[in-house]
Amino acid sequence: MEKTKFKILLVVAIVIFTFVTSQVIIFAAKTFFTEPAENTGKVPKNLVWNEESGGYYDPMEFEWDSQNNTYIAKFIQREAGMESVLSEGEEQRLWVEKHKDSNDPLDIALVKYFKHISAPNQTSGLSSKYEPEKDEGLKYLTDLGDKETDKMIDRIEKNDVWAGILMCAVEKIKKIDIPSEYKDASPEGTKKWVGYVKGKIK
Amino acid sequence: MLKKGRSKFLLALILTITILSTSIAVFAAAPSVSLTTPGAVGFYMLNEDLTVRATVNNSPTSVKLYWDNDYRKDLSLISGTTYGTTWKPIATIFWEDRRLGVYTAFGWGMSAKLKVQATNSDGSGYSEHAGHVTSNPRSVYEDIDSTWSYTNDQTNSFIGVSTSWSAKPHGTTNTYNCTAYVVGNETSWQWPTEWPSLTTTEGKNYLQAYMSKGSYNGYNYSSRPGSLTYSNVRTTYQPWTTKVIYYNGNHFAKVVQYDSNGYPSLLYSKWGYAELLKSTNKDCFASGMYGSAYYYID
Repeated sequence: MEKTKFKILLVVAIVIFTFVTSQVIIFAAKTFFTEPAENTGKVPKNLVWNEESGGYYDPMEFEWDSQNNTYIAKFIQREAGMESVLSEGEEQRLWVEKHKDSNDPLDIALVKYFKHISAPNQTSGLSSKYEPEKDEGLKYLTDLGDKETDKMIDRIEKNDVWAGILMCAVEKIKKIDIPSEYKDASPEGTKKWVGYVKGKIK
Repeated sequence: MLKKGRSKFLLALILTITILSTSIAVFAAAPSVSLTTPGAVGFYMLNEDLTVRATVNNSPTSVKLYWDNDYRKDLSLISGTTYGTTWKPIATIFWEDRRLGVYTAFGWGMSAKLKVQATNSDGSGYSEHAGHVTSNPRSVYEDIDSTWSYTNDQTNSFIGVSTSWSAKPHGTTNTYNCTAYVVGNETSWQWPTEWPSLTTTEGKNYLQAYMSKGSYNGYNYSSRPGSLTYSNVRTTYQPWTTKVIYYNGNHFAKVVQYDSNGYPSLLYSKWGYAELLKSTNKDCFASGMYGSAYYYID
């Protein structure tokens, strides 16, 4: 009876010891940073010390993901369905896949434009400010000249996946100086743009 | 006596059935696959070999690698139950990829599933992880940001995937850029066309109006996208309070974390259509296309 009790106690002790040791190892594997004492009371109240990354952050703007050691922005506005759209140039890619054998001159030019912008080391897309004069691929569209502009405008009006670049092409072909308030490729903006351009072409 | 004999017979029968069914279970099983490398949700560097490792049990007759459900290449046995290969994602146009039979990723970066599938005579099993092939090769990132780094698919400077662009004029939807990110929007390209060079006095006024959702020179930004607003555009850094930095190569970065002196130790910025990346020093862009820190916004 005594022996049995001893055996039970031994097993329980081993289990507890193993659990405690593993927790200590896990805890020790993570480095924790202590907040510099001289900063106490000096740092604005909106910032908190992150002992895992060793810095201050605003928890109203970012959330610390301890598991992945990264910050996640809390301020981003997302619209329903964005995830499936955002991951790559999927819309344009699918469009090109569908139209790659088309005989339509505008389709052919857009496929060439796609090849141009997706070429390796094409870094112009890394700039936020679009400057048509620096976009060498635009010539594939402007070279089509006046005979394709009606079709371009029609596609812009329908918010085609290429609406943005087609707006730039039409402006250049027609030599129309568009007031900046009309240069907006959002669905609402394109309506205003089409109205303005059609008024000018008449 | 008869009962004893029947019991022995039944016992032997049960034993035989058990042994047989166990044998069938052992020998007649489809492969089980566990993809170990790359890790779950990783960034794969364009034009560089990606190491792929998987543990495969139950004697597979073939172990194959797929990207976006397209067959890429076979994995070979390395040791024990570990199978492996390397795969190099290369940017090219996809129909050329198919025509030439070259295993490639598409331009612009691409998000898809990397899958290892094993087969034997009893069926097949697979394991897959989500990944993103970067939009640019290493040299482009290194040239732009002196703090950029890439160790492997899990340890690197990438925070978010690249997005599409179509000449990216102001307002283009289904993508976002640096300006949109710092004001809290992920659904449109923001660079108002009325903006002159932002390094001019007038440019600063436009920027001040945009960031505060105010108005300037007849342009009203009260309904611009993004929930974040800022009150000041300054020419000197403000420890602890500067939240956004404008670089004179037309780029914005959001301060995420401050060091013990109140200077940025972590910044996030969206590089045009390319990925959302982290940087670890506010002056990291000085020798690249994004230029030097010019305005400090809070």
